[in-house]
Amino acid sequence: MLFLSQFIKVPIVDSADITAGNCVDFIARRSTEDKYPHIIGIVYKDRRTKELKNVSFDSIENLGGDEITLKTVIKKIQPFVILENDLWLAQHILDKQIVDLDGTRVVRVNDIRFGLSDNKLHVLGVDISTRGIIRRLGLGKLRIFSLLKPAFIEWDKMQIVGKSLKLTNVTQELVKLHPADLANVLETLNPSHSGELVQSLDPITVAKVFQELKPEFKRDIFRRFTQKQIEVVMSHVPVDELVDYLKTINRKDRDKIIDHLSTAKKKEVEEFLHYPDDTAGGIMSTEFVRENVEITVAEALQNVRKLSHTYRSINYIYIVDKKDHFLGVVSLRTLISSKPTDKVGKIMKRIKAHQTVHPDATIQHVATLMTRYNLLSLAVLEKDSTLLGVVMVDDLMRQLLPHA
Amino acid sequence: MTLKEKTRGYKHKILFFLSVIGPGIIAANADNDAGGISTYSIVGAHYGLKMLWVLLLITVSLAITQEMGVRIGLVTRQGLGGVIRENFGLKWVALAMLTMLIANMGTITAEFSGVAAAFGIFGVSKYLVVPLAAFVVWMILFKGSFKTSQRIFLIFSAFYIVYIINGFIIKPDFAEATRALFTPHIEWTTGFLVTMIALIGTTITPWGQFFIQSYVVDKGLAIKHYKAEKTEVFLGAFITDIVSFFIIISTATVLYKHGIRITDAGDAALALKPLAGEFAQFLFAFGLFSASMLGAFILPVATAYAICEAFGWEYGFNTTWKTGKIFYTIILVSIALPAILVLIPKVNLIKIMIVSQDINGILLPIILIFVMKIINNKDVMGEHVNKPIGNIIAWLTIIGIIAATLILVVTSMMGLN
Repeated sequence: MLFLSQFIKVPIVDSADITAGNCVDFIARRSTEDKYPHIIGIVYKDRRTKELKNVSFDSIENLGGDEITLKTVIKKIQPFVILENDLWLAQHILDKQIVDLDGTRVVRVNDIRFGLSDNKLHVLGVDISTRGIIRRLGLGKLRIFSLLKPAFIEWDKMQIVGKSLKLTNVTQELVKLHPADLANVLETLNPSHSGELVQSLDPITVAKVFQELKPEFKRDIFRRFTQKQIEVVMSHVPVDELVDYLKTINRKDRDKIIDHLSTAKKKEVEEFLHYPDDTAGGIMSTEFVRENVEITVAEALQNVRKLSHTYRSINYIYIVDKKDHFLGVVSLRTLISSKPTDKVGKIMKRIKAHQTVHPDATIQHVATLMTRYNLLSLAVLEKDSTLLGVVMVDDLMRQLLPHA
Repeated sequence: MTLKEKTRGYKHKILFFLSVIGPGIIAANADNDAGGISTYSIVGAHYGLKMLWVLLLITVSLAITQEMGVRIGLVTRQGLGGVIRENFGLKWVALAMLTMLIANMGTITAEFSGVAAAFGIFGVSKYLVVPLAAFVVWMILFKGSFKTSQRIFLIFSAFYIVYIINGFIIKPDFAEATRALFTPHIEWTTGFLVTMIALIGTTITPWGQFFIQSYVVDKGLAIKHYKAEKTEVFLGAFITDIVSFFIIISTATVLYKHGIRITDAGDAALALKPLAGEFAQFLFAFGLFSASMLGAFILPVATAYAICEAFGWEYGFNTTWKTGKIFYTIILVSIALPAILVLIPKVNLIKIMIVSQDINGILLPIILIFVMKIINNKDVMGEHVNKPIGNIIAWLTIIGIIAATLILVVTSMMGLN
């Protein structure tokens, strides 16, 4: 196995046996046909002038641990052009943090692994194991350390973060991660790295990830965003999550964000801001399907289909009368298995008043009711029994275990 | 703005300041650990007011070095271990970690010595107390809530206010003390130099440098909190050294004046007699115990955090034994090894405490040099690189310590005492 650390500081010797300098870095270039980047050349520090010079990979005769020999004399070698988004392996990747996409965790690069195939040297991946550390410290030859297991991450299973992020695109794999996992990764990265990573994601992903972040990280994540970018992301965040976030920031910033919301959303947000966190009003959601008692099952299903793209989750539809008084619920299961011509009022499960709460109900009370009556969601009513919002069981859990 | 809005704004500012406060004050209080108390007591008891000028200088140095740690932490948002790793590579961070590990082990040994000495005042055997204390620390760190225990001991260590009160009761000559603050005095003897280096090493510690940086990062602070943080570390440095000042003048007045030298903790407790009379022993033992325990909790954790961050191992209290094996192993070893050292028969507990702070002092320049290189690096710090005055003070401190160490080595080799 070939590792980058074997070659750093190794002398570059030309065909006349003259030492040009010591190896400082390897330059890798990505290509669209290849899964792995390949080495296009080596950078070394000139022995006399102390400047950085480079030699192309083709001019190398042999890569050895004690010296790197060149095919011709140093004078005859043309330096190659290093492009903007070429990777300097030692400078950009070695010792830096990366995201392991398989394990969805943040690790540090201890060494970089190469593989030789059809005369090209490819970057296969990185070594994140303790064994890699031992090797870097020059103790690799000692036998006892062979007990340590190697641990590699392949090039396409990792995401570079930090300054080098500008050089690579955010991989497809990263975006496919579950928002909660992505949020965990962002929380582990140091804040400047996570900020850069977030900026490279599309607004919808950012909105999803935002909702999964721990409270203290929500504020942090927008450090680098412009006001406009924040607005775009916020437009994809449901009202209750938005309100939770707005409660944690200072008045000035809060008002700025509220000003840029759509009128409807703005009104809801302002209403919600009044409810304390530890009450039903503070954790309820306004994203639910509300239907009149007279409509048919077919019509209800159509509405559900229309809204299923916008709402985070739909498990029940909530039935109200003309005056918006809450009457009962219909689960999706019931909806699907009922006759399309039936009125929802006929198939609904009537919810009695004591199985609902007012916005000022405590979390304790909400949890008690949901447990006692086996409810996945609880209706929150105004004093006049009009339907205000719905507490979902996952929002309740989030309130009870905020740091999970 | 209505009156309501005005007062709310004011309250908001205070809350903001208080929410950010914490790191500097905790690190400051933890400075007065077992090693600290014994060193300050000996400084006063053996040399009277003659080393006060050193205290003044290192208070300035402490404020400056802590502020640098805060600044690096706020800008890079990484701990010192991570920053060294990313900018200097694996070999150098290994050196830094080794240095920190040795210094920290020494300090933890001092903490357990403190526990043993505190109970030793009442004749309780160290073979009983130290294993018990080590076990308690390990159990709480491994299983329980680190935060609550930290809070408990922080409250206990507020005990040091007693030294300040004592300092006034014994009616020392404040004029003389103030003059001594500005009067350099040096003796070229091993004893003086050892104590002097210990004085420096117990105030500005390698672990303190890592701690303050990790803490501001953990708390999620950003560069906009800089002013508040800077005020806080300056305040912290001032507070901790005020307490040190009073410990020194207490022992100077009560012990030095009567030629009493300190060989064990009981002697140091005598310095509190003017305040507490016979109760002095108990008060001192209680304070020494709680200060030692605070250190015994913080140090192993700080050590494990720094090492894991530098080498990329999983760390933090939300890991389990399965995922955070290395993290918890480091904590375990950092508790067990020092505890065993303290249990060696016939060791002089006070001597351990002083020597450990000497180790801190001698190894400190290595860590400070890393800090200096980072804080003057434009690529890392951007516009927040050091100003010349910061560099001057820091380098003077570093050179001062190295010089003192070299002189110590030379004089002890030449057999001068």
